Amino acid sequence: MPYKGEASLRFPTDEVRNTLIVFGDNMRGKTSLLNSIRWTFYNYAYGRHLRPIPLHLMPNRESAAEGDWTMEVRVEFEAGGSQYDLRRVAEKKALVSKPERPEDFTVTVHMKKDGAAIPASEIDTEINRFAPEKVSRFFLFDGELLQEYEELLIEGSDQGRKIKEAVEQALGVPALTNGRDDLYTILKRAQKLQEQEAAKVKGMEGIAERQREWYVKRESYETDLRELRIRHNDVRDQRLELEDDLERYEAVFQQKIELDALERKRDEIDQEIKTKSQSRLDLASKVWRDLLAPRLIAMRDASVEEQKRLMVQMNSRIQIETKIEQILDFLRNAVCPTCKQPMEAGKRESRETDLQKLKSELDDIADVSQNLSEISVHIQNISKLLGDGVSARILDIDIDLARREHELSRVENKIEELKDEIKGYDTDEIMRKRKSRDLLQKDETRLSLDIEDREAKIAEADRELKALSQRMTDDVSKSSTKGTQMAKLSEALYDSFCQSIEELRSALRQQVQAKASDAFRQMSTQQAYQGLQINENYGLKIIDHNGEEVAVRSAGAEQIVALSLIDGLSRSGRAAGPVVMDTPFGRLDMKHRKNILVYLPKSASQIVLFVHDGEIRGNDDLSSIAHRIGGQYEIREVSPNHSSLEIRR
Amino acid sequence: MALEALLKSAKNVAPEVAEIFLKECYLIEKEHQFSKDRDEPVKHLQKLIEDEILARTSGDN
Repeated sequence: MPYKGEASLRFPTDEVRNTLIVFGDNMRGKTSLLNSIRWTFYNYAYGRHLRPIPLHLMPNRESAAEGDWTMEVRVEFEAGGSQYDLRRVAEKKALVSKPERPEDFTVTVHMKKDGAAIPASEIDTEINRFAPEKVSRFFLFDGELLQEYEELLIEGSDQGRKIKEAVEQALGVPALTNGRDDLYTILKRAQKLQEQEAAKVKGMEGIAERQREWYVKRESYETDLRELRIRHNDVRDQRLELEDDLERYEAVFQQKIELDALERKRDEIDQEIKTKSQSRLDLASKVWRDLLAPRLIAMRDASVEEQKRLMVQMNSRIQIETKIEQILDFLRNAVCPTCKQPMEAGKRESRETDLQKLKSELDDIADVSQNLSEISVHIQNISKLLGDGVSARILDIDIDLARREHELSRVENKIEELKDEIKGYDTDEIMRKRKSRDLLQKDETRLSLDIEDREAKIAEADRELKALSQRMTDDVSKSSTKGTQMAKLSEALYDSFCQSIEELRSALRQQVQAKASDAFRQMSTQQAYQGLQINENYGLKIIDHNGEEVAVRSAGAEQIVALSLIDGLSRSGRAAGPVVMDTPFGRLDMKHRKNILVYLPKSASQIVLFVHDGEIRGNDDLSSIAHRIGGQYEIREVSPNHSSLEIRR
Repeated sequence: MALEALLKSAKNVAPEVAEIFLKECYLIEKEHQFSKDRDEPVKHLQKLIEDEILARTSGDN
């Protein structure tokens, strides 16, 4: 609470000038003002996610440092024609030096009605007559919670279910739901009496016994259900607390993820550099071959030339050998190969001469086949030594290594930067909290399923008990015992209350839809929309000029819909009264803000708006409702832990 | 609206229950609708039902 010493606000009491605007920057104490009203009336203040703020964290820090832990809020108001003076005081207990828990304080509440003191035990009841606590979220309204109303459109959402309960409490459904539950208690007692009476009637003992068994089962399911709900709430609170923490550290967590990824990348690059350096080393041991390459190439070229020459020589020799073979074959047969006639003597001699000539030529040509195979091996060996360009491969590796090292130094710099940024945060603790949050979420889902299971079993037990009771009533009614008459009448009332709940819900939904649609049409800048359509959870859909649902809604549209719902509920759920709104314009454009500013003063007896300069920018934005403004205040910063309220001129 | 819904439903499921008696039951619940302690309304309601039975029995006699 940033208010130190005394701070006061005077709410406008004029019927026309019924709007009070309090300007304040973020963190200066707008929500604290809303909480101070909440605390005075209901003895609690809300933090995020509607979680109560512990009392020892509420007093002003500067005052507390000076040893003054007392906190007091006083509200003077008029309701139902009576003047009230309500005062709540929290004081440090005498024996406590520094309060560290709510129990270290004594809280007292005082109320006067038309000057007469009301006993402390009756104050809550008195307040609930004109400002029921359960409905308070709709007239002590925190704009930060607007988005929660979007959950009403999500079937089966836990938050949606809770808001639905709050909505129904606002609309008077508890009179019927409590009636149903109270009558069930009475019906059970009557059936027990009936069962005792039936046990005395011959032939009814079996039914009485079965009824007893079902009662035992139902009670056990109910005990289970109560415990499961307590555990479910406990787990949900723990999860929300962790989520609040984690939300604060979300940026750190993202940096930690980035850091882990970069460290993995650094290790990969490091490994790659090592592998490539090793390859380079291996190649370097062969680089001498590149120095000998010119000589080896010359040797290889000369050998290839020699190989060609030897090939020519060997081919010549083969040709001569073939010819000699042909002549020898001719001489052996002495027959013309064409006409098969004996060879003439002249021709034979000529061939023999040719043979001698060829033999002589063959003697002149050496057999080089051995040389040829030797030179081929020689050429192969030279080629092996030349390899495939060791220097070129080393050059490629060097380029790659330079690139990798540059990347490594970039990654290492980023790692250092991130380490600096998250220095001082226990990132392991954040990871542990995330894991715990995930486990709690699983637990919550499991518990929700268990709750559904027990609810179904209770419904089954109720059906069985109803059937058994009916049989008893039919058979025992002739005797008109007290138990039977009580059971019969209680059951008739119970059935009436049960059915009336759905009847009322349906009627209320229609009423809220009509009032919210009316508010929406006045606040929305889009005149083509027909209005809003309500669902089972009181979630509202926008309906366009063709009667179709508008599927995609902007953040601003969501806010207008939520404000329309709040207004519809406020006007359906209680007699007109003051409405206090904290930061209600967050996501809205100027046209919508103007529409809402014009609409709100008409919708409540008194409107109090806590806004920052980004929501309403001075008198220009207020010109359209200048005639409705009954007062303006400004929250001024005295020091980081001290704000004061000043009238804005 | 809640009372209207109750009277309408009772006409369907329990027409034998008198409207005035139903209204009395509803008023007890309305008075205690935001009260966490349910003993008080249950006690009042039980008394009302017993009185109603007594009145019916006396009427029969």
